[in-house]
Amino acid sequence: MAKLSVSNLRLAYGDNEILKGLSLETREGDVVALLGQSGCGKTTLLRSIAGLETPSAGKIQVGDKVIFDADHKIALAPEKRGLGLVFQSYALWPHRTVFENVAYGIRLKKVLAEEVKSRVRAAMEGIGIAHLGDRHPHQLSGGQQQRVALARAMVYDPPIILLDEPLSNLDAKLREEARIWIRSLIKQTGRTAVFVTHDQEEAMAVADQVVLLDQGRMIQSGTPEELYGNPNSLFAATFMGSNNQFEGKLIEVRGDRTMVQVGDSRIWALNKSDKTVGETTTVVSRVEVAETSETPGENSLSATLLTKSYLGSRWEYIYDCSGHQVRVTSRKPLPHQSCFITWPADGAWAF
Amino acid sequence: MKNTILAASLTLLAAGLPLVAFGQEQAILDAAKVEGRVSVYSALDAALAQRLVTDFQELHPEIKVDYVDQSTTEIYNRAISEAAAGSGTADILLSSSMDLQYKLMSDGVVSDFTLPDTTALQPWSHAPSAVYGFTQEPLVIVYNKRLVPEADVPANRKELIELLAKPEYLDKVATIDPERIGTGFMFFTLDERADPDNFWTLADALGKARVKLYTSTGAMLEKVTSGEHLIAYNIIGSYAAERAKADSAIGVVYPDDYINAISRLAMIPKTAPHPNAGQVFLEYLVSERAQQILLASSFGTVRTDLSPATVVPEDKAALVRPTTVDDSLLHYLDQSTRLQFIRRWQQAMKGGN
Amino acid sequence: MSKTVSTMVIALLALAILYPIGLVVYQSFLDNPFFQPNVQWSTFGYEFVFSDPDFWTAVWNSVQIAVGMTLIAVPVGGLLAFVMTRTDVPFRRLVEGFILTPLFISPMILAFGYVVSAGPVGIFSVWFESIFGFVPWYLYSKTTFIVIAGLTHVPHAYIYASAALQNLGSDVEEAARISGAGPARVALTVSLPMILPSLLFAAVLIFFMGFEMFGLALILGDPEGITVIATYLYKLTNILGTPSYQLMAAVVVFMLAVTLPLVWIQRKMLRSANKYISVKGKAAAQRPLKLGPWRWVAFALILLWMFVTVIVPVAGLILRSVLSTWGQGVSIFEVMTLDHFRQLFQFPQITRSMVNTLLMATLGGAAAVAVYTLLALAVGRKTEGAAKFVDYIVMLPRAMPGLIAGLAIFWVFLFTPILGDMRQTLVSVWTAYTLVWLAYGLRLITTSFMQISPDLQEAARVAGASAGRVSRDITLPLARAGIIGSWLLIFIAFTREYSTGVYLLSPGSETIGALLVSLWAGGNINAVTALATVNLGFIIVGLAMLWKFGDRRNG
Repeated sequence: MAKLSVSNLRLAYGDNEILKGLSLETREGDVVALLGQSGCGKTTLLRSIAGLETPSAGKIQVGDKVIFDADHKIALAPEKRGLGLVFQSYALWPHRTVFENVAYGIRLKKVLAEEVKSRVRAAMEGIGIAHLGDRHPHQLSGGQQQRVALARAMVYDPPIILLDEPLSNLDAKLREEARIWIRSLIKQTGRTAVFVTHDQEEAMAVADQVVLLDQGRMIQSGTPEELYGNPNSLFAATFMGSNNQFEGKLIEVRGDRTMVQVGDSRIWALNKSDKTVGETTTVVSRVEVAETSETPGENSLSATLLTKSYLGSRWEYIYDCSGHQVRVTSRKPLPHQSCFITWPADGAWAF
Repeated sequence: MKNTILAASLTLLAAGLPLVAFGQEQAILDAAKVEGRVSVYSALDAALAQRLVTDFQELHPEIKVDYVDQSTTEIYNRAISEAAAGSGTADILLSSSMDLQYKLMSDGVVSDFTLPDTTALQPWSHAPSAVYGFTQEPLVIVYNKRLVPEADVPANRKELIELLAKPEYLDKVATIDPERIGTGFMFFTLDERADPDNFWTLADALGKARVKLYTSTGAMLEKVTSGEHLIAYNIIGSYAAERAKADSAIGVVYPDDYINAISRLAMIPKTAPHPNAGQVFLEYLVSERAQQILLASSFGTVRTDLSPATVVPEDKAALVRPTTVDDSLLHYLDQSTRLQFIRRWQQAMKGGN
Repeated sequence: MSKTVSTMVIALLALAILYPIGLVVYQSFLDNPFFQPNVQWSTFGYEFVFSDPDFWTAVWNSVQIAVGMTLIAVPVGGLLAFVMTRTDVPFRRLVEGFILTPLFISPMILAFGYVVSAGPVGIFSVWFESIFGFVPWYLYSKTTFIVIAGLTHVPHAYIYASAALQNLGSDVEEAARISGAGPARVALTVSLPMILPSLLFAAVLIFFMGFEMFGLALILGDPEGITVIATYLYKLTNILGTPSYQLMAAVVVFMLAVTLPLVWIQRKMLRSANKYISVKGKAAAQRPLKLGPWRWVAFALILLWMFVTVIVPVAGLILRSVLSTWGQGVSIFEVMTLDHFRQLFQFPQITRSMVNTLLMATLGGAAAVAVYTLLALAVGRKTEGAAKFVDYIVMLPRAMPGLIAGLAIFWVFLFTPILGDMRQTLVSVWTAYTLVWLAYGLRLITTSFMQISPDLQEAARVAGASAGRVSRDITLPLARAGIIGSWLLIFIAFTREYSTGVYLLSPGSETIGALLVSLWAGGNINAVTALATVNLGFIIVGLAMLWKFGDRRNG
């Protein structure tokens, strides 16, 4: 329901810079995923938005409201920001019942007791935990705890909900279900949500906008399709999906394509760098676009089978291509020990 | 009310006070009753203090006694600090540290107060218009009756010196530590003054016997009882005699060369919040009624009209040398004189090692 | 709690600590009591003290004792805590109730109990000699002294270690057992290293307790003339005739000067220790380690420790309270008497002192815990710098002997006009007690706060609660058990405390501790033993009630 904009945020612990001038814009009603490896600063960014960390520079704005501005010495206390936050640990208060946990936030807002009751009830029903009101957190399963944490963060209608790795404490099966219902829940209520995750699949499944972070900087931001289909950097390309990767010498640049020498072969890829002929470059290609053929052709490398494994839905083969390991998946078993691996020229990027 | 006044006047009459002083006395007593309470800061045996306070309370129910037990050092510290701050809590200070009490007087911390009648008090027991002794306690030798053979029991210091040379008394003798305990220091300086020729011989003999130096009279008595020590020197006679009443192992020797006696001194600080009540209490302390209680508890008396004056047996009563309350008490408060004595003492103590 | 409030709280704390200490430092550079007219600046105090060989002997003794007892108390306390919280040692509940007993007994009484039991003619010594023909210990030697001091301070280490261990998941221990480590190895290589910060804190605290130790040293040190710093101060009250504050102040400044580098070392060690405990393990599941036959060995060792620290002195004390005389060659059955107890009834102060003690310990203890809690909350809100500052100053009051700390606070109340009115109330005594036990209490509270995940507090902040609200709604309710536990320990500390309050005691405010000391000073040992026995009876009743309460809480 509100737009979040973060600009040029900096934060350091001693000499250790965590955020190095991070900027970020979201659209109203979007679910935004902050994606990155551990230590990339994504949780720190989330905590800075919530007011739990104080950056040394930068500005944070929710809608028209400036909640943090280092230049003007504005730093609203977390309780004044009115945001919702779901902790990775859920942080349910063990000494309060589920109802009391959920009701806490609105009670503080001096709402009439009757209204508190009805709103909490509504929130709990909406999230499917209406029957758990009298229990204490330790009497709940992990999935139920997560729902309580969500209800608690949403009950007082925050303009933005922040979620810190909300699914990481669930087991794999439950996690896939939870992705779907979290997204639909947020979308139903039309809220803006920012959530932190290290799992790219989860980010793509839940988010409208994925923000990829690395070492305190934003690498790329866009829809899941953009991030997956059009990475702007080697990091972005390799972080998403499963990839095959080659080192080679840049031979030729033609339009938006480049030719790279890998071993004895030359392959075409989309040009993603301003490197010139003769420099070493890295070619990345998604595993799922690679195919095998018995004969050499355009964009193909000769390969020798190293090992294979059966994954149920598909077979996975690992080949050696002039010193590079290359993975190929196939729905059917592949008969060849040595073959050629090939993919379309716009299915690879050279960085 | 009437009855108490009557009782009070009867007591005063019984105490032999001349009627002339009666008017003034009455005024103080009335003022004291208005004040309503008296704070006593005291270093005294708890049981005895209790008896005195209970008795005083019976005599003057209108004056509530607040009794606080403190050590002699604490009383002195409190007195000078409160005097400097000009804000007092104590109405009367009782302490066995005669020198420190006297010093408070000479430093002008104590209010002038003359008892209306001092004729019945020993002349040595008080300094003019300020400090009043109210006990007379001999210093004695204590031994373990079970373990010290009759023949060994020393009758005087000379015999003690001889006894200390015996190997079976090595490590078995105790005395108060004059370096750490101020009253202990005073006991030994009294000895030196009483018998300057032989005192250091005694000190050297104690050193050779590897005397154990204590900070507490109670601990010494306890260890003589148990046999950990056989003999203890310069023990306050009142404690020893009281203990000997119930404890068959404690023997008390009143030396037949001389017997030093000390007094506990009472005084009223200038900062006393209830000075009149303080005066009434001080008068009570030296009254016959209170002195009888003191006598019954082995603490002796400073009145001339009661006898025996101390726990010392009649035949040795003449040997008792009470400590006069006068400027001589200040002699060893001089730093260099004091350090000189302590150095000599330390040298004596090294004799055993 | 807002930042302004926490800054104010810390400023007040600094004032409360640094004002009396400043007074002592100031006094140490004067030639006479600071309140006298015409005082001059002088370094005489330092010159005298530092050139006195007795001072250095006392310092050396204190260092040996403090180091020795720390080396005994901390490992024993840590292992005891491990055995009690993590293993299946038999009669755990029963033993747990009595572990803290040595804390309840005033050190002076404890020491006297040892004299009666294990002194050269003590009951146990004589008995041992009659069987074996010799006595293998000498009560008054420095070694014995260190062992006794170390063993009786074990509960202090135990308190901190067991609190930390309870917070540690048993999965890390199980991992070690699966890797082939026996219980002892698990304790030494996994559990205890993981609670190193708590052990280190206990070590520094115990070191200070040893450094300023008075009661034990007074009773056990006399026969061999072993002086420690606190008993050396005795000498200084007397050596120049009148109490020489500048000399005592110089000694105290010396002790304070020792404190600061120690706190520095402690902080440094803590920082490196903290590195290794970022992984905490899952605290949820705690299963006792199975010791097998070793559980009986562990149990026997605990019994032995209890025998030495509790049974021996207490037996001596109780026996002495019903004897008119004792020692070599006395048949105790002939000299039994109840007179000492009858004598107690002569003192109406006794009931009064019990009421006062109870009042001071319950209400006063609760108020002190409230102060420590407030402080812990305030420090929690502040930056590293403020926390560092607090770390340094809280130890200072502990570094002074209680008597001197009490005298300094007495001066503060006496010479500060606005405080004058409170001097005669229990407020002043309470202030002194609270300051002296600050380091001890604050650490207890912070330990229980640290057990609360910061997430829980942050969750409340984000939900709209102010910092004060968070303390009230989340931190305090969650730390309740820890706070009540701290209150019980402060209760014990206040019950036993005496020397700190000496100068601040007002009429009618005597406590049991005070009464015991004054009876002792008055030489009335019969009454001392009887009163101490009665006191012990109360403690046992209290412990039993505690035990009952604990049972209900667990059930």
